[in-house]
Amino acid sequence: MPSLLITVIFWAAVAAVCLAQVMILRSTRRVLRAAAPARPALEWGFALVPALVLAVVLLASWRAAVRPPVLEFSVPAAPGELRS
Amino acid sequence: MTPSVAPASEPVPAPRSLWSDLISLTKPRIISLLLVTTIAPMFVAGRPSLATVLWVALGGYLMAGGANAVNMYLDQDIDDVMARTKLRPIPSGRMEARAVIAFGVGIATAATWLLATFVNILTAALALGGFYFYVFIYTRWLKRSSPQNIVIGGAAGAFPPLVGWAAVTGSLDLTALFLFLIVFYWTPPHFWALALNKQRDYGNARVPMAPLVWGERETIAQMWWYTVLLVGLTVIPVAFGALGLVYLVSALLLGGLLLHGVWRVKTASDYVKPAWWVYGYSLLYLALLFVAMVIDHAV
Repeated sequence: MPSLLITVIFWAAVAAVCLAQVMILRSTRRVLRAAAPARPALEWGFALVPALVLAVVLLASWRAAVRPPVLEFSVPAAPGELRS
Repeated sequence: MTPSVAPASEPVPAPRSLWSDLISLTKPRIISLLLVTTIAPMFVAGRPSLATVLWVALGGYLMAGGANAVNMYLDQDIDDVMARTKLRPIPSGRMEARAVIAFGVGIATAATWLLATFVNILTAALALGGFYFYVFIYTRWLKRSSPQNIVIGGAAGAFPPLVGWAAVTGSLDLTALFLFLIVFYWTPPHFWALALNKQRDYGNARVPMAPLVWGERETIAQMWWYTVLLVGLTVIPVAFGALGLVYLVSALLLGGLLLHGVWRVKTASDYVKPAWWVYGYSLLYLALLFVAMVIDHAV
């Protein structure tokens, strides 16, 4: 597939995923305020842990998908530096 | 949470053989989907031999079946008050609870040995991890204590793709992690579609499902956003070259239909029918999505 299409697919998907995750966290904040659970910190943890894992996975997929290539130079050694 | 106290309807038990009860303890219909999400990743990861596929299928069935049997042992009290589960072997009195847990632990132990011996140690460890997560984290802890029970508990059902991947490669990578996350994020909209229509059952059993604790509106809103997240997540592996065009088109079509279904739940004046549709279609969605991955790799 063309690299432009791949870039568009990637960023459109990442935008949808991030928006959805933010909306899930906002909804969780609303329900935790309204329901006043016995262990609010734990409930927050249940919502935040998947979000953190998702952030790490998206970063890894960015590195695999659209990260600009790192230029590597190999400088030939000078004859005097060669060792047998 | 304000559980309703209406009694569950009284289903008429039919006589069944011990063999059919043992099979029903494993919940074969649920396992059929788990096996699709186990075996399909094997063909995405590489070219498994027929023997490896068969050992993984057998080991996967026994491990998931063992987890389901132990779940029925631990949930025998609430199974007795839910119409949906009242006819299971323990609440109906057809099997002793101790026999059920012995059966569950026995076949899970057999599965661990089988996978470690004929496949590899990582595969056996992941399958056993899924068993422990389902039994202790989901069933024993979260199911009765948090409305986010199936959010975190969904990880138990997401182990099968890792098992299949590890069986072929002996390791895990980014693609395997995505397959795990796809099943993980598929779980909330799938189970909340069921929970919306089974609120009385869950209320009677005092299981704090999201619609009972958060209310229907907030649950449906989260179903929608989990589905958006899921559909977005399914196309990302295409961007890093793990899957191709056939899969991309399939993921968008299947995902578009799922989004449409959840949108109907969100906007309909009566969500009952759309929610049943989402519950049924989401099963088909996950199976077809994983089949599409295999086809994409084959063409």
